[in-house]
This record gives sequence, structure tokens and C-alpha cells, in this order.
Amino acid sequence: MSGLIDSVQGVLGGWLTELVIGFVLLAVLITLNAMFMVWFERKVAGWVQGRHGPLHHGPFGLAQTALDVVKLLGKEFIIPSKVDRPVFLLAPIIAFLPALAILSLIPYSADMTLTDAQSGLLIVFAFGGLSLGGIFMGGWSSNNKYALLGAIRAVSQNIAYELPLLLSAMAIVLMSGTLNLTEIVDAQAGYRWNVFFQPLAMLIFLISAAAETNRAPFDIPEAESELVAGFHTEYPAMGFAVFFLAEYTYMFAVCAIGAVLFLGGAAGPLLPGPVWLLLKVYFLLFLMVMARWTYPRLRFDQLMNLAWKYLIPLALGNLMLTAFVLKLVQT
Amino acid sequence: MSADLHLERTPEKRTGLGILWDGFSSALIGLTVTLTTLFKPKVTELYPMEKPTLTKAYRSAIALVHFDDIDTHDCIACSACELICPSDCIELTGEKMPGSKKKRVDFFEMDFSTCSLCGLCLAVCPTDTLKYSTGYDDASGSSAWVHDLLEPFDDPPMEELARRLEERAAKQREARAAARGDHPVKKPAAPKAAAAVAPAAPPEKEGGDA
Repeated sequence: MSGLIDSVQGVLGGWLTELVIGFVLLAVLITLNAMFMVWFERKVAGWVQGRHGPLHHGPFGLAQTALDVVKLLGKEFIIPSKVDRPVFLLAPIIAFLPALAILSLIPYSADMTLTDAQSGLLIVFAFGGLSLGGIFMGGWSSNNKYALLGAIRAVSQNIAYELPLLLSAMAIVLMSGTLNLTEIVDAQAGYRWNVFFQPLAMLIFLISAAAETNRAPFDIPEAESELVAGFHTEYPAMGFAVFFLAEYTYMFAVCAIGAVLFLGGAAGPLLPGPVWLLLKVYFLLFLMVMARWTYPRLRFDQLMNLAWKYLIPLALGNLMLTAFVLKLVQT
Repeated sequence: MSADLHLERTPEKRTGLGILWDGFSSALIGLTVTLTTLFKPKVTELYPMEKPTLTKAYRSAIALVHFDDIDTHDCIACSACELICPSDCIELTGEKMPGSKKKRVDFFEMDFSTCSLCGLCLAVCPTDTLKYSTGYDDASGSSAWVHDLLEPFDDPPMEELARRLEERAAKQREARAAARGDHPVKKPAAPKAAAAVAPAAPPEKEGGDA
């Protein structure tokens, strides 16, 4: 193994090797996370509804997702004849890749960050916005009214919820005085986690995060009862699977950002950092899954009302209050 | 239950932060409902692996009752069920037991593809030897389901059977006598294996002998 790393290092040089190893690990993380989350989602859905969930393949049905992927791989990749072909094929990739970029910015422990960018949080939100481009491309190029409607809804919804997401995160930026994710974690050292000082910001962040990832109860871009499958209606086999992978990876990324901003990142006793981060991330993911199986889908106007009338003013007020209190403390 | 609070709330028009609080509190109530359901026992029955608990009124195919004291059924081939059956799906024949006027069934076939499990045959049976079985996964690939109810029963030789029936009748006599408060007069003569005696004399006659 070390021989392999040495030879790779000889070809690529120091930091590039780190990058390659890092992205390989991230690829593993993304795959395992998606497979686990699909199983977890179905299991929790079952339990919430008094059912068992996946049960028969592997221990506790854990192999269910792997078999589903095999099924998807075996399906024919049908491209409808009237679609905008290059855009149609590019869309799932564009939807998926930003999530990968976000994951590379997260501090998995005190000294485990793939790219320790000074403006990390900004880059995260920038890439989060890019992911929406993939969704819109998919809906636009499909030449299908349901897909188009789903894409339009996704765009307007994401614009509405980007604001409270950014504003609630901005309160944290004010408190720690930096955009660097590692430094934000350091600012919460000694269990002075931001969730204790900014519970409202965390609530707004989680709600907006669910809306940003198009999760129920904000899943109107793919509302099954109205839009068949929304923006990915026309996508076959692995095209659909990549959209699915993107959704779950993006969920993981958003929850990881949430853990970094509000739950002290990788900090915790006894266990190593990455384990703590994963525990916190999966706790937040559990909340998202529970929200999906508890709350009915919002109507579009309700969705917009929630964002513009409540979340944004609340987040703004929270931000102003934070600035005010910080100024008081400083003087 | 906390969920009732939500339903009882007056539909007054709330504004501003009131709406926010209503939404937030009802969201929490909803979350507690799902969170508690998460740990409740599952209601899904894992069909082939699990056997369900059947209700007492559960009706499956008609079967013959197995009486422990004679170690077999007690069908006397009276044909009452055959006559009353509205679907005409019972067919039975019987023969006389040696040394007795009583008949004994030797062929009892039911066509369950026409039987509606109405239960009239159970009601008319004079010896109460018909019952609903509790089989619940009786689905099959064929639409015809004709079954000889005697099949699982392995009737003993007639002489042995006659002896058992006589024994049971004696016990019943004793029980009736005890129920009336009489002292048992005497034990009836031990039935002989050769059983030339009539088995199970009708109860009307026995009433007077105490």
C-alpha cells in the first residue's frame, strides 16, 4: 500500500497525491452513505408506519440497496427521442459533482480536511447553488411538461430558501469571525457549541436545508402526486440513479455543514474525530428522515409563505440580534 | 393524548407569531407521534415465516372433530349434513357396525370449491363431530378442492371402536347421574372386547336406571 502511494507520489507530487487519496476516500464515503441512507430511509419509513422495512437481503435487509443498484445497472438506458441530448446527459453529473466538492471542504477532524479553504463556507454555498443547475438542466432538457414544472419549482424554491440558509449561517460567521470551516469548529472548542447560543439559527438552517435538498415536506419539485417524478421523470436507469445519489450526497453534505456550524464539528470525547462528525451528521440526517415521514408536503404558496414571511424575517432578526449582542459583549 | 390538543383547538384566526407558534407546536406534536410509533411493535405479519393468531370465529375448511376418549371422530353417517347442505357439496356413505344397528361413516367427501362455510352442517350434526378447521394458507393452484374428510383419520377395527363407544357412554351416564346428585348405583359391567352388546345406548333410556 505504501509502495503504491510512493509511486503515485512520484508521478503526481505531494499535494496532488493527497488530493487523489482524499477523493478516493470521498468516493467511498459517498457510495456507502447513499447505500446506507436509502436503506435507513426505508427502514425508518417502515418503523414510523408500523412496518418492518427492508428485511430479507443481508442482515436487517442491509444488502437491499446494493441489489437495487444492480437492478438499476441492468436496466436499459433509454433516451427519449425529443430531448436536448447533451444537456440531458450532462444534467445528472452537474447535479452530483458539486456535492462532491462540498464534501471535500468539510473538516472531518481537527487535521483531516481535503481543502482547507479560507472562504470555505462561501464555496460550500456556491457549489450548493450549482447543484440546482443540474436539476434545472434535467427538467428543461427532458421535453416533458412535468419535468419542466418540477425544474421551475426547484429553482423558485431554492432561490427562496437560499436566503434563510445563508442568513442563519451568517449569524455563525459573525460569532466566529471567519468563513473557514476549520476555524469555525475551533471557535466552538470546549463544548461551546453554536447550537446552545443560536438555536433559532439552527432550526432555520435545518428547515432551509431540507428545502434546499428538495426533501419532503418541501419535495414539490418531485411531488409524486402531481408531477409523476418531477424533474427526473424522463431519466432512465443510471441517469435516475445518479440524481438519486446526488440527492443523498447533498443531504449528507448539508448535514455535515450543519454539524460543523452548530454541533462543534468533529469535537467530542473518547471517540476519534471523524466518528463524532459522522455521528452528528447521521443524527441530523435522522431528523431529516423523520421530518419526511411525519409532515405532509407543503403547497407551493405555503412553501413560499414560509420562506418569505417567516424564515427570512426571523433569520434577519436573529442576525441583527447576534450582531447587537456581539457588539455589547465586545465593548 | 397530546395529539388531541391539536384537534380541540378553536379555529380562531391567528396572526403573526401566533401562526408561527401554532405551526411549531403542532409540528412537535406530529414528531412525537411518529417518534413513539418508531418503537412500537410492528403490525406487519411476515406471512410465510409467522403464523397469525386466529380468532375463535375463524372459519376454514370443515373437518371432523377428534374425540380423545374414543381416539377418533364420531360420525354416525346419519346424512343430516348431506341433506341440509345448501350447496349440495357433501357426499357420504356409511355401513352398519357388526353386531349393532348403528351406522359408521366410511366415505365423507366435501367439495370445498362450492362450500360457502355457512355452518349448517355443524348445526345439524347430532354428534357434534363437525368443526371448522384452522388452516389459513389453503390456497392452491387448482380451482377444484374435493377432499375426503376421513383421510387423516385412521379408524380402529370396528370391534375396538364399539368397545370405546360403550366406555364413553358409561362415563356419560355416570356424569349425568352425578349432576343429578344421585349416587352411582354401580359400575356398569366392563365391556367385553368381543362387544356383542349394543354400544352407546341412547340417553333417554339411561335416564331411568339411576
